[in-house]
Amino acid sequence: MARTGLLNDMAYEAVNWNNYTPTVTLVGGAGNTVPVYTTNTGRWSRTGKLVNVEIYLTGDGGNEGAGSGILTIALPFTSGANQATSYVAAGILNNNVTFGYVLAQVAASTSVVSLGYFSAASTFIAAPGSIQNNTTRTIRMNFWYEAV
Amino acid sequence: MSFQLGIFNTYTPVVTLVGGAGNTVPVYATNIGRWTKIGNMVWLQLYFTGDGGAEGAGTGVLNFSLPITSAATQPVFRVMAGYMYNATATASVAYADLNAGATSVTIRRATDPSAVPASANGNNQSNTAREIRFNLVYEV
Repeated sequence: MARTGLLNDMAYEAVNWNNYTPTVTLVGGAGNTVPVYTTNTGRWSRTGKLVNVEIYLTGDGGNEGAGSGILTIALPFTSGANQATSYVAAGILNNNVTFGYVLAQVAASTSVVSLGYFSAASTFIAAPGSIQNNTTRTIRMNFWYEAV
Repeated sequence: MSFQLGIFNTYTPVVTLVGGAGNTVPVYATNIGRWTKIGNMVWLQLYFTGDGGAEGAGTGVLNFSLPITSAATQPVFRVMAGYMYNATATASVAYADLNAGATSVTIRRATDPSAVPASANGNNQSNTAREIRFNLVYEV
């Protein structure tokens, strides 16, 4: 019991949140313009190989998004080789009056998270740059993954 | 059970169909469970994909075994957890239902974000392209 208590205390003490800049890219596709946001905030905490991430992108900070390239965002740490490639519920996006659930895909041994969303009932697609082409655009996500 | 802080462990999540009729448990080519435990919390990744044998059938509700039983104090919850797919135009958000003292998690699905998620059953994993992926955090 004493050892368990110590581990619990260590976990409590170890979790600090840190800032990073989540760089947005568009992978593949054609006609791509990477959207630029006024607010581009990333926060992470790490305990062992467990990494929790918050990403908040919002506001018209420059270029509007365009193209069919898939929206990807930099991770604070490369994912582990055993990270299960997984679309998990992570947050929401909006583009003017369009809203969608965002699912986050972190593959094994990668430095980015890829975004997908439900474009219609029963239709899930990889999120293209064009879904962030309005001056009123936002992506907000919380997710976790296994780091290297 | 011993563990290292923040280090992920692998287990084989067992798929069952609870209740209903005409059940055949779907078998997946990839059937991965990864988890880590810090204090009284478990972070769990589950990933099922590919045609590994029998196709799912029946109205029994999909359940997946947990690596550690949930705590008696775990609030009963339903959370958006991930994604499930069977065939074209059947993608849906996967919801996880978890009870206190549970050894498995129950899956629900919503194809319409404004609708109450329905129980996911064997018939929802009847295609060779079937897939379920989700993450879950719970109290043990």
